[in-house]
Amino acid sequence: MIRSTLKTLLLLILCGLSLLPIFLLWVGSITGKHELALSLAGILEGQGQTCFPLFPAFPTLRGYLEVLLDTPEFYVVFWNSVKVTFFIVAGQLLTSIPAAWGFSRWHGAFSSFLFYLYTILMLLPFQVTMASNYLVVDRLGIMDSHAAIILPAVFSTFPVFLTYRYFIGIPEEIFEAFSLDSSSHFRMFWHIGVPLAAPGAKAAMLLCTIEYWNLLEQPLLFLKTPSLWVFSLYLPNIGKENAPYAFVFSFLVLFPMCLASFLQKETLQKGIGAMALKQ
Amino acid sequence: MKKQHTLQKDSLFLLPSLTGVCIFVLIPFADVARRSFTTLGGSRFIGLQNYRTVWGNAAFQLALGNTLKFLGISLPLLLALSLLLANLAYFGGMGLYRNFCLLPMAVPTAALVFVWKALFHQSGAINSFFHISIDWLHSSHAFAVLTASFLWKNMGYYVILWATGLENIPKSLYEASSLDGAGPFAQFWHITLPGLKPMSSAVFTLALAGAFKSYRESYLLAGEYPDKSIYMVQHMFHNWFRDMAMDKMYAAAVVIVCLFAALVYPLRKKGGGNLDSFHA
Repeated sequence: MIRSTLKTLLLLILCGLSLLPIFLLWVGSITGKHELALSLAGILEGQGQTCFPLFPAFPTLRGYLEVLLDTPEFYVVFWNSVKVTFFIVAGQLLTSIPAAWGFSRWHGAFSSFLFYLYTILMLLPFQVTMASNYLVVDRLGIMDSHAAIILPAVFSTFPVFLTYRYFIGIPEEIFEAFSLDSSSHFRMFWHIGVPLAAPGAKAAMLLCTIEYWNLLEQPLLFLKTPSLWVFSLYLPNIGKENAPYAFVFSFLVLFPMCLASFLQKETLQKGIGAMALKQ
Repeated sequence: MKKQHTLQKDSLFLLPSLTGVCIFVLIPFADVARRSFTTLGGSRFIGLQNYRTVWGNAAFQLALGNTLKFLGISLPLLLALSLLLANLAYFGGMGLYRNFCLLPMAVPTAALVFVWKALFHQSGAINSFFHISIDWLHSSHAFAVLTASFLWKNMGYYVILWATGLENIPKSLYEASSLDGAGPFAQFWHITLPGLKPMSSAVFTLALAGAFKSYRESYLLAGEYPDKSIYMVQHMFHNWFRDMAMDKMYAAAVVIVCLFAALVYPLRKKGGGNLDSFHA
């Protein structure tokens, strides 16, 4: 009896902790300007107290109306983020599925060496490749454009690694049955590889969308023109006087990602699991 | 031998990706490695001079020490806690947690820091609630805030990783051992831990790479010049970059790539060209 109560309590704490910041941002986003100024006085005025109300006394959608109707900057940075994320993930999909297929079919010392390189690149922190990244962006003359963010990210090796994990689980008999009546490499890739890669590619796409939606370091380095900014650059610059917008804005950018990862949790869990499982 | 030949042709599928990786990463990085042995203009070969400068640099020593401290504290905490939670989620009937544990990962950092700021500000919610006045973000406490934020964001990912490993341990082992009278701790020690061992180095490497991403939180919470306790290798790179101290950057980048190369070595794909690796 005590055991199950403790278990329920722990479960509630864990789920609560996972959801708390999301919940607080949502509460902030439906709290009116004056009420928010009152409860966040400690931070906004630099004196007094701060207490996060667990629910506003007068919930309002005015913040959403003002952001969606009267704040053109919101659309600019939101669509910049959508554009950058979309092209990165689409480009990754086009290059990484064939590459993962290649790695799973082609064996030998050189293939192993390349795969080793790819694994290192997947794990390197951005700061380490920052200097080389800057050199190439500068040389290509794409500084201060979305291409400077998109092109290097398309060739991230993470989706190759993840999709490869799904390919190596394919039993060899499938290939043998196929090569009896067809010798075309491309057809084999198209008819066996692509369908079998679908769950892995979906997981990789989701994880990459979450990752690149949250992109900060590269835009910070390469985007100087404010009209090109993604939301990660714009959000921290919202002044204290516009605190209500900051909450609405934050909630609008986190909601699509949280919803997608909640609805696709099985795909995500399988993809994450595939990262470390020995096949 | 025909089979060998057909498989060689499959290497062509790598071409689009490999071309891009060469243009955007490998060739520029080879250039960086070359420049790390020359003077700033790239004209004169000076051997390991840049490496010596970096090693003796105060910022480098501070950043390396802090980074190692952060890794040494946050990684064991993350891996041990997530293993415990994965066990609870898998055996303890707390499966519900798996539905929500990945949500923190999806929250963009730029939005998340508003909550952390509201909580940890000098007159923020935590200080107001406990009637204390600790400057969480701009003192040595920032280290604890950063660790907490790292754990919050990544816990779910590693719970899922461990849980996948647990699912792959045959249930019959647990059933047989309970018949022999083994308790949960004995089972954990003699079945779960050995069962998870094959994946542990991959999990550790992923966690290590993930830990370096906490720069986003740190930058957005404390800016380019944070408290000394959370000044890490990533800050150092950004500051050197802004100061155009490229010679130091090049040398430090080469050192870190070598460290990662050594670390990843056990995880590499097994070579040799035999097809057995398909079934292994």
